[in-house]
Amino acid sequence: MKYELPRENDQQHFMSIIEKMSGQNIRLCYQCGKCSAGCPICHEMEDSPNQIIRYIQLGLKEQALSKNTIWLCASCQTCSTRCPQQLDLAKIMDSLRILHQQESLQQNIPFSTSAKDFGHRFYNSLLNGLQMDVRSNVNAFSDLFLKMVRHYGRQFETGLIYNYNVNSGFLFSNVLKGPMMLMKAKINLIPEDVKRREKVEKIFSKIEQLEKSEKEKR
Amino acid sequence: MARIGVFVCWCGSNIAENVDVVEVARYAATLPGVVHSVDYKYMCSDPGQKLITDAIRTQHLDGVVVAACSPRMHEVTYRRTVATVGFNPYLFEMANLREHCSWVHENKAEATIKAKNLVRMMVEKVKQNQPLYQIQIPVTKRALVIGGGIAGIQAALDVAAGGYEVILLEKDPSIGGHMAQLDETFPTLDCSQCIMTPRMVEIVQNPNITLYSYSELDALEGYIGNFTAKIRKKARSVDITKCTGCGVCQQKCPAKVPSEFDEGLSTRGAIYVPFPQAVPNKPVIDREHCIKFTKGKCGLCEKICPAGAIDYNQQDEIVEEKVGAVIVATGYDLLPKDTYAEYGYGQYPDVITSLQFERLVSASGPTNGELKRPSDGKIPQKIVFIQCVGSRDASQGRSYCSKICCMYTAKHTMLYRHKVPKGEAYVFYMDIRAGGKNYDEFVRRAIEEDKAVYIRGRVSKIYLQNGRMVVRGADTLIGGQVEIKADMVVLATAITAPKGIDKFAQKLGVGYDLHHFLSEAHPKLRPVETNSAGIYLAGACQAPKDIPEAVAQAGAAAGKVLGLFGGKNLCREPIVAKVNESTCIGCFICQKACAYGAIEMKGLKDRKGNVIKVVASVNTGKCQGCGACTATCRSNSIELEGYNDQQIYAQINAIGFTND
Amino acid sequence: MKYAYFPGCSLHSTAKEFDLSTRAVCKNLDIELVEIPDWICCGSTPAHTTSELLSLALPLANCTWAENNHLDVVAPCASCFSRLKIATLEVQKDADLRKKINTIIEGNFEGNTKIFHLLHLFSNGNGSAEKLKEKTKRDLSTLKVVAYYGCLLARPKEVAGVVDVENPQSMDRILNKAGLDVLDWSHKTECCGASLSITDKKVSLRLVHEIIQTAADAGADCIAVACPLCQSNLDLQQSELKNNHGHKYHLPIFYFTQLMGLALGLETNKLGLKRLIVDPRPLLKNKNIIGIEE
Repeated sequence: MKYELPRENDQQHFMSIIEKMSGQNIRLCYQCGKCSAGCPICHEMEDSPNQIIRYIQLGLKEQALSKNTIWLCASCQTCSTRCPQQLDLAKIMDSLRILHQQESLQQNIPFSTSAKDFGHRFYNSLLNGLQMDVRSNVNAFSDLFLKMVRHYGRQFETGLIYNYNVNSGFLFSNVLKGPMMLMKAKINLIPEDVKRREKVEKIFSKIEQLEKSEKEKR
Repeated sequence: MARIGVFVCWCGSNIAENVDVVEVARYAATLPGVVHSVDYKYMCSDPGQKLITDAIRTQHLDGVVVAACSPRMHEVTYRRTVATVGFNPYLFEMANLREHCSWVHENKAEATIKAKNLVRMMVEKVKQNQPLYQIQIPVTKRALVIGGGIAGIQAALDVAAGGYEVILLEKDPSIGGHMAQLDETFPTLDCSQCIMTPRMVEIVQNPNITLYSYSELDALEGYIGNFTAKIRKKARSVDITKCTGCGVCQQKCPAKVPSEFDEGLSTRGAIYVPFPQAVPNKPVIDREHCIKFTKGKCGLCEKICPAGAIDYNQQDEIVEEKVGAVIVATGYDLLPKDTYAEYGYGQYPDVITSLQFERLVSASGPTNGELKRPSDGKIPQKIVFIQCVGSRDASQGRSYCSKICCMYTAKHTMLYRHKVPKGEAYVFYMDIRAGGKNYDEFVRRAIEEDKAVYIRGRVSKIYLQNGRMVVRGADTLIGGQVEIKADMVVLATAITAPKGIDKFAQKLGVGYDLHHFLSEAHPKLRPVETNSAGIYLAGACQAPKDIPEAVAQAGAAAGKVLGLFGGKNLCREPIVAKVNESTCIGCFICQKACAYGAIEMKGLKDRKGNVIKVVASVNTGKCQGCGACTATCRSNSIELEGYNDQQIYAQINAIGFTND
Repeated sequence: MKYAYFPGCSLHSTAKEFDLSTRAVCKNLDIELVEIPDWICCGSTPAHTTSELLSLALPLANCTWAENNHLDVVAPCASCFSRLKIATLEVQKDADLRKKINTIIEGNFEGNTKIFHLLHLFSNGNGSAEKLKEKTKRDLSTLKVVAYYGCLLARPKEVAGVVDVENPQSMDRILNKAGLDVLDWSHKTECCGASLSITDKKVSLRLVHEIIQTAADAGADCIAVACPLCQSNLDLQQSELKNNHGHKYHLPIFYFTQLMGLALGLETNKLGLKRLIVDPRPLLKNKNIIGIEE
């Protein structure tokens, strides 16, 4: 492996961007590795958390954003809590994910609320057989989660799981638990009725506008 | 009319880069009273100094201003320079064009204007200067050494070797400190006891040394050359003139107290000698744990003592000793292992500190040098050593490096492998700091010959799995997590300043840093002196140090003391407060303002010897010339020599006057 | 005592038994809960990994009602609690941000309302814990339990309000007062990976396995939790450990409120015990805590 290091004093240096987004001084990290040592998900990560921080320190944006690490992070905060230099790594991971989402083409996850539409898409995905990685799974899940909230005001687990499964290609994942959960009355078949649905929609659209104008300003 | 010479220094490029020094010198020549003005690249160099002395002679100067660096840097240098040609050193002043000007400003034109102002102010001040003469103070040629660890022992021996008396003070029942607890020492693996105990014996044998063990300093009064130490000899409850040191008492004592010397790995009686090689080798009763003292019963030791040396009624005794210099060698503590929750808070008996490990491998330790772990006495087949526990950890409030852990951990892995040849030693480290003579070679030997496995990363957690400890850490070189099932874990816990040392330092008037390590007067040029004249530092009380460094610093402190004692009298700066006795009204507000206790009361008497007025008087030995008293005096009767009102006003007025 | 109650989405679906038992226990201990009318989702992890503004606006839209009614908020879900608390802390620190959020939610949140997790209610010295001890009717002393806090009830320190992030005690103390045999163990605050249970199941299964295994090794009969995400992850996935890790476990995962309710002598159907996937009734019957017919 060989890396070209970008100019360090550049305002557009990757480290400066992440420092601004996260409010953390990345230079504090002295690479002791305690974050990786305590990370419950380090086993499955392509690069350990301290390596991601190292990429940021050196301005290696592609390296930091392309690893599954930032998507596997469960925000459990073990790293932030034990960091001897008091860096909030979980917040840095958030920033990396947000930056990734801002910069990649916004993937629009289709989402259905009607049974007819849903059946149609179910059929399509059976034909195409989608297969995705963690990054797209997390993105898809987050996206659908928020779409559900935006639409219903509250989470509607049944809708979320079925939409997610159709989109992720794991068609029958978690499905077998469905009947058991229904039997235990753990999930609802119809979404709860929130009277302030328009208000929630307003919050989402206002934030969208705000963030769009802020991005353009930059 | 004054005849003043101004000497503007370039300080290489330090000043010249940011101040137009030629212009400053040209300008100075135009100031009223200035008859000579030059600039030069290095005024402090030999040719630079010659420029000054030549000008004093040829120009018949009565005032000298050197515009250069901070007086903290070179005031002494130039005072000596002018004195060589018989010029009173207090008719010389420095204008600080470096720290106060060139180093802190970016705009050269503006910095040059400021430099001119600074020179002008000093020219005006020096016109008001009067010749002053150094003060002579007699010196008591005895030294007090506080702390009987290796640093204190070395300092005491070195001062005594110079032919002066030494009082050595130790708060514990025996001297020896932490070094007496160690097994073998890096980087030579020579036995600590073998090199230490002969020196401990020397302390009692040396006729110049008086040892006060089990004693503490209650108060230190006075000033350089003339201190009075109030020493509390804590009641030993044993008459050491009668005691033969037979040891029967400590064998029979029914109380069981965790042994400090064995770091809690064994117990001792309430009457005890801390360790067999203790000096003095006489027991002491720990009244906090003695059944006789806590419950009024027992009294066994008194019954069985063949010498009748037990004395339950002994009281603390206060003695006063006059000394001329003090060496502080109060040492260090280790961070307790229960600080880290993620390492089990000290709940796991087989997670021990490095000092406990020393005791476990020491032939004089609780296991007679057999490495048995505390929980079940089994010989550990796998040990994990964790470095930087509490050091370099801002989240714990300690950002400093404890300096010695890298070396002793490498040593521990060797000692372990020598005792348990099939054992596995793992070391978690952040950096290996082995910057000493033969140090890095020593660490390499631990890795290459004694097969210690070094893992670059910190440990996040120790937890129990089916009763066995699992150490979860990272190896940042491979970029992943590693887990090691360990039989024992040794924590290299941080070196800390002893608890309560801040209060002690305040008692001595010695500064300390954020972490309560005592402050030296200058980190490079005055590393063993403190800001309190006559008080010196040795060993780990100043910063974490290993044995060679502690011994070297002890020797240096002793050298300073011998230098002080070598002269007839002590000369000191005449920058002290002076009272105008005719206007002083004796309100003594100045006394409250004085941090050094230098203001005394003085009765003014008439011819018959009746006291007619009590006024303030300055003890020039104690006065540090800070000027606090002068600011408080309501009748304007107390002034600081060299900084009197006329001199200060002259400077202030000079700021308002500008011809730019 | 009266609080604004924010149940959150989980307590209305997968964690109904947490909602039921919380209401039952609070009623019994004279704590009045007023559900925030028309509350909306807090946004949880997807919001704060997507947009900081969204992660603040959604919680504060709920807190505003509580503040207007001079009530402090209590949330039983660890994730909701964490998001609500972080949002209030953030706008307390930054007045400009607060104004921005107020424009978005078209409300006026000042930041005066305090946010509590349900655990805090019984451990903040208001006498509830003592009342619990006094009113205990069932003997649970034979039930060996470990308290599992997970991430959000311990971290970050200033949000969770714990004294010791590595060894929190609030749930241990409550369970102690309720008369259970509370065991010490090593995985109190290890992450269960609930947020990955859908997106990367094999990871969350591994973490669930570690937690269940250590609890069993410590000698626990069951695990007490205070977070619906932890509960459903540990409860639902337990059956799959046999296929994936070759171990079969049967450790009921109780909400701590269910155990409190049991101690208080409440009827088991009011505590939603039947809803747990790993059925706790055989264990409770075995220990003579509940009758055969219950």
